[in-house]
Amino acid sequence: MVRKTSSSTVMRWHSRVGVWLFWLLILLSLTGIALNHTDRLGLAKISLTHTALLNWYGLDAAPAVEHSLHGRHYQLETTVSGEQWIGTLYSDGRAVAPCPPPLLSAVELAGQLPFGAVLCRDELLLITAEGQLVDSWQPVAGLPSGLVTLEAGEQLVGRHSDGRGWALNTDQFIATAVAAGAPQAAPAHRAATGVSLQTLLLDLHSGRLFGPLGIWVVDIAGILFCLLALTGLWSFIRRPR
Amino acid sequence: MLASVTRSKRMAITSRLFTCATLLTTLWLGSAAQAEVYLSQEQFIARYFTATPSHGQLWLTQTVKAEAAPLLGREPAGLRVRYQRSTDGTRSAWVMNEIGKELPITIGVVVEGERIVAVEILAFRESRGWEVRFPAYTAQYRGAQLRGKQLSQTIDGITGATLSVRAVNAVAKLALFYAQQLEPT
Repeated sequence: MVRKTSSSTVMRWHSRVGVWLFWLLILLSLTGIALNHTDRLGLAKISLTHTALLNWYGLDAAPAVEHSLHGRHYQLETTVSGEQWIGTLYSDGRAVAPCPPPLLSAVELAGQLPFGAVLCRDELLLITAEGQLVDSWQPVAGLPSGLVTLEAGEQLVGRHSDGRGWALNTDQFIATAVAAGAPQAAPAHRAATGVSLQTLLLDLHSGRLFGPLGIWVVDIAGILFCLLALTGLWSFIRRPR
Repeated sequence: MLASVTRSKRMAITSRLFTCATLLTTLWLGSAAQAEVYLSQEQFIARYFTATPSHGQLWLTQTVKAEAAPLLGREPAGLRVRYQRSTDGTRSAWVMNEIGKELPITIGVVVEGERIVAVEILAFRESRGWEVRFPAYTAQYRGAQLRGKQLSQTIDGITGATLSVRAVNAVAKLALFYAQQLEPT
């Protein structure tokens, strides 16, 4: 009699916990399945730009920083994916090239060809007047790291925030030190235009979207799922045949 | 007495375990947060050229881009690719960026006589897949040639680094193709 009562109590709790957690189990299963196919579904490339979501992540909506070169408008779209900030430079709505945020400076270059130079974080992009990427220059190939602005005169000069300058030969990819100039304003804090769907799903799956409390909820749910499995197995074994 | 010995032994084991855990954590953090640049372009060139090579630019015409597209899976970005070439023109080095998953991997390829001499990962920016920089992996490309749209030899992949492997394969093929486009000196 006692065994029967304890068995029915366990099964009553099994049912209750199951009902409380079914939505979480479905959510975790669906997000898990989606995350297993991140690359195939291109989840990292889908950028969610809703202001409420950006606010939830504590991200400042990116100010509409635009640069004009040869009559074209250039803008950076920044997506947060995990701990990485991924930027893409757009020209009049068309993607030009990956560009690590923030977008720091853009100048038109004097030369035989009407090129423009766009400076992102540790990357210099050379662009035609038609908005097509010519080439990119990075510190691994000798671009001085930490430049914050560009000046176009007889030669292209990149400057650090403390005013140190480098003449940038965009043909040979050679940087030569030039006289220091006025200190430059340090780049503004990074702001994003979107959060990747992969990040959102990962944070939903782990509970991080709701802070430390969310993580605890998912952890406790995990333990309860184990208990559900055990009580379910127990009930199966004890079922009269 | 016995209790105190057991206790001191336990302390010693705990301390060793703690040291091991700290070391492992340091190693793991070190590998995860490794400086993204493993090798500068200058060091890469110095490694594979005894004399200073000449600099050149290969302009990517529509024809070149169209022919390169099947090797890369899309048309290559940019209008020019920079290379360095030995004075006798037999050896050329190509440094290119290719996105693995989300961020570009900087890959250097040295080609001689239509065969790959070396592949090196100069910079890696993503959080996963950095195993492609290990010499045990990059050594597989040595001697590879371009056969149609494929490399002449099989390259074993790395579990968990599929996209990085794909990017290195694509750049290796592209470098072989670009080297074929150079005018003989």
